[in-house]
Amino acid sequence: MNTKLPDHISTELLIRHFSGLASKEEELVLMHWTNTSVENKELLRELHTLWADTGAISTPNTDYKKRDIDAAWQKVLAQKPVSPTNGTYTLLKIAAIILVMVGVGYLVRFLQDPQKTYSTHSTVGNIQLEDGSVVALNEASQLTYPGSFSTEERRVALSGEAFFEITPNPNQPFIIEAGPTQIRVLGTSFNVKVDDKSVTVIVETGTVQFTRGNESVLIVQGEKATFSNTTETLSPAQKTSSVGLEQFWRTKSLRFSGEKLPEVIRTIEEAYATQIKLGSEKLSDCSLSVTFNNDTLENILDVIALTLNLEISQTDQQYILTGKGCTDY
Amino acid sequence: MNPSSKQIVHISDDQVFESLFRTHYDELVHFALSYISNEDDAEEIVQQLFVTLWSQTTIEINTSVKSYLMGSVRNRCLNHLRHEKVKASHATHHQITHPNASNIDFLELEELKKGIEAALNKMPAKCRQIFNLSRYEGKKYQEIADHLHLSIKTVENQMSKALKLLRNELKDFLILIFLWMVNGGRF
Repeated sequence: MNTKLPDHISTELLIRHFSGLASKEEELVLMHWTNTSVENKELLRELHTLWADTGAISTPNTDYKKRDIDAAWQKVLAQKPVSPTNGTYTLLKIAAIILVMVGVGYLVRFLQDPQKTYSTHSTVGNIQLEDGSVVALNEASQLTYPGSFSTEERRVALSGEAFFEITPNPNQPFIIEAGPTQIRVLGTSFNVKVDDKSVTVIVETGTVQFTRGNESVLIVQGEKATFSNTTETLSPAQKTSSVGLEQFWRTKSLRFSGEKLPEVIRTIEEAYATQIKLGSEKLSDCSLSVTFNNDTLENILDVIALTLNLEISQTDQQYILTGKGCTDY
Repeated sequence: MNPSSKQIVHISDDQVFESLFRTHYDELVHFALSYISNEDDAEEIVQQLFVTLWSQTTIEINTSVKSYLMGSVRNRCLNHLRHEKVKASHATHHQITHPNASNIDFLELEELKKGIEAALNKMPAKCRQIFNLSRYEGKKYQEIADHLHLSIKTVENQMSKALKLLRNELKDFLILIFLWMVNGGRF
């Protein structure tokens, strides 16, 4: 294609057109020329491509307009090709759930006396109380509870860490004695962690009253508060992070939405009790959006490496991630 | 060209797939907007790329996954521009089922970048300076003329020269890539 631009169409006019800055008259002149022949139209398209390419390759800032990624993903998901193995997986999942439920039922029937203690050692355990409330205990924790609750209240004691899903009953408040503090709810779900130094409550649903002596703080969904033994103070309620690190012991799930790589790595180090090093400063600009559910550390590192074009290497003590960074192409 | 740097990537893993989508979506849409102006169309193009990719369990990448994705978005944008006049109902029949059907346009982004940089380097210094001022700094011809103490006509001529050089260089570059691909990645 050796067509040249006619004299009355300057490169400046073209550039204004490509930049969206041409006047109505200029647009008309251009349109008239392109409509004259297919070759003209082709030439314009070619020059536009050139113009676009030269601009597209320049390294942009990293603050892109945030779009509704969830909605976009739903659209893509809706067109996912159907795989023949889907049916088998669903069947297995249902079978697994039934097995777990049967297990819990058996446990409850076995424990029938007044003051009971349920302890965990090196695994996470679940227990269902007489009122239907479910408690998940982290490793090395202990719950003390009555076989049947009194009429005015439901009172238990906790050492270690547990997640409570309390059956609503406004007439029978549920009270947890956790170290020097008390946690009082009517029906809600929340996490309590008790150790020598502090007691922390994180609320998933509902409202929780967290009390120590005369002081108390109300914590709602998505918030947490801590009582410190050392300073003997109850903190005000603060928002919890959306990543889900505090609940990881129970959910085995981490949700990243654009956090920067150093923060992602620190979170994974804590969740998996491991050490991960970033090969260079350049990697600090990378960000990641992905949810991990019940994944091994190796799988998580593989997904991160594939998404951000990194290499994984390993020594006795730690993993190392290296790569070119995310601001260049 | 370095044929030895090919990488076989299995993207049938749903988690990797979703992670790639969520991490790169905003950037890919921004990139598409270099080529087409409609934001909804840009989002649609990126989404359709991933829908098509979902049926390929293995894709071959020369540079990096991101560079491949961006190259694919570029390719689809250029096809979109070609078929702009085609009505929506016809478009679904002519849907491109392979992610990079029009191979002359498909370049992984790093490859395109190398080609353009090589072409820019071939420009005489003054020509390149004027091109940079116009393209990357958005300066009007009058501003460039004043800044460099030249006439507007000279600026105009230099820009024509720049565009002509880019056309020639990139056309050769694209053909070279095409021939290289046809030869199975060997010269």
